[in-house]
Amino acid sequence: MSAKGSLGIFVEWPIATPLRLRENAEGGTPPPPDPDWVADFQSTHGRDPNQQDWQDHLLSLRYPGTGPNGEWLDRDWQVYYRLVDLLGGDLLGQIGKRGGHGTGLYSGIGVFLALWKLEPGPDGTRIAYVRNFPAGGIPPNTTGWTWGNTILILESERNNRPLLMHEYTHVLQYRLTGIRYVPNYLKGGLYNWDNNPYEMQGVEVQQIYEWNPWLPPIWEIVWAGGRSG
Amino acid sequence: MRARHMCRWLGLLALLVGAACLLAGCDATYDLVIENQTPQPVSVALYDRIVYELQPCSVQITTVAGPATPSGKGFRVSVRAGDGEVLVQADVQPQRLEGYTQPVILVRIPSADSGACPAPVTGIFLLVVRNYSQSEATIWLGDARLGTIAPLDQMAFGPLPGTWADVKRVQIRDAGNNSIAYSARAEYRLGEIPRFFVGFTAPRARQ
Repeated sequence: MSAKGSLGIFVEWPIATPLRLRENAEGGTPPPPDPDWVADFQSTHGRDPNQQDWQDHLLSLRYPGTGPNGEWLDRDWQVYYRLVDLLGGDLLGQIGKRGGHGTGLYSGIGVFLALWKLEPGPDGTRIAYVRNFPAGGIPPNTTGWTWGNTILILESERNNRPLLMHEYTHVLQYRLTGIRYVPNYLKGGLYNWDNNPYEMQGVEVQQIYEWNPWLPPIWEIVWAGGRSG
Repeated sequence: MRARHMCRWLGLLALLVGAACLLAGCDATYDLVIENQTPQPVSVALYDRIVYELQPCSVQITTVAGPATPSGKGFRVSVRAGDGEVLVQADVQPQRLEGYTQPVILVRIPSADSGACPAPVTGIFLLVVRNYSQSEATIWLGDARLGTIAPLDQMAFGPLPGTWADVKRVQIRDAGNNSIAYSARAEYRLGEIPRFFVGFTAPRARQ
């Protein structure tokens, strides 16, 4: 792109594009809300949609729900909102980010444990499919282990989607918390998960995906500040 | 000199791994098997917050995460009757059982009347696969190709010989032969052939 072209976009973009539009999961700018969809939304919900509603609508077009022809039913939206509320804006706001230096440090430990056998994962993560000690990088009885943006998953659990969502929840927790993640985790209870908020969040996310295989992956959710009303 | 260098690296690795094990939680996977042998509906709560609703004389199987080294007290489970009355609260220790690949958290709710529900059917199962994506996919069980499932469609395969452990052998492949991750759970009535449900999704192809 020429310098002139770049400048043109720089100058024109704020005028031509309302600020409320933001990048979607595919990296493009979403189209303006469909007037028919807006009218339909208003009649169903009795309020104007906001940017979050629009992003959620786009997600529902990308991933079919459980209704006829892949339509999202009311109960699908309830499950989706349960997931969104469980994760909250703090964690969902970490999607697309990489975390600070603390997260980087933990990611490095993960890379070391994975013996550098990593594959690119979703949303800037790296995943190693490994075996248990001593043949591989994760302790006995362990099926998943997350360090910063590095996820280690037991080879036999490669197709276990709910487990991946559990581990990815930990990635978002690391990004939000940074270097304080491990001390906070220890405070919650290392082996007593009943009192460990990080693990309880992961377990609940995993359970939602166990029962709702149609749900889009967490990293596809675009956080635009939350829905109103 | 080179050997000493290697020893130093291995020592560092061992230290790091040891510290890592002590510091951060390792997630283990358990098979949760709930068998309601009573003629009334019950709800079972794990960790005091994840609730499973069971019909009379029915079974649910799912996988749950837990600590790789559980504290000695096991997993806290509470069982409630349909009217909310707490029937039992217990700490359940996971155990190794035949037919399961993971340690099993077995929650069996017995009835005072031994004939209240039929005996469970074992050794065979129905595999019910639901394709939530808008692309065709092929279903494999180990080396056996079970069939192709159309977009947004559901198919049942079987009865097939095997147990819950065989669900781990399911492979789902898209048109490009890429493996698709899935969710699996079981839900069925005692006396009926166990139904194992597998579901998966994928984004719509870009327009």
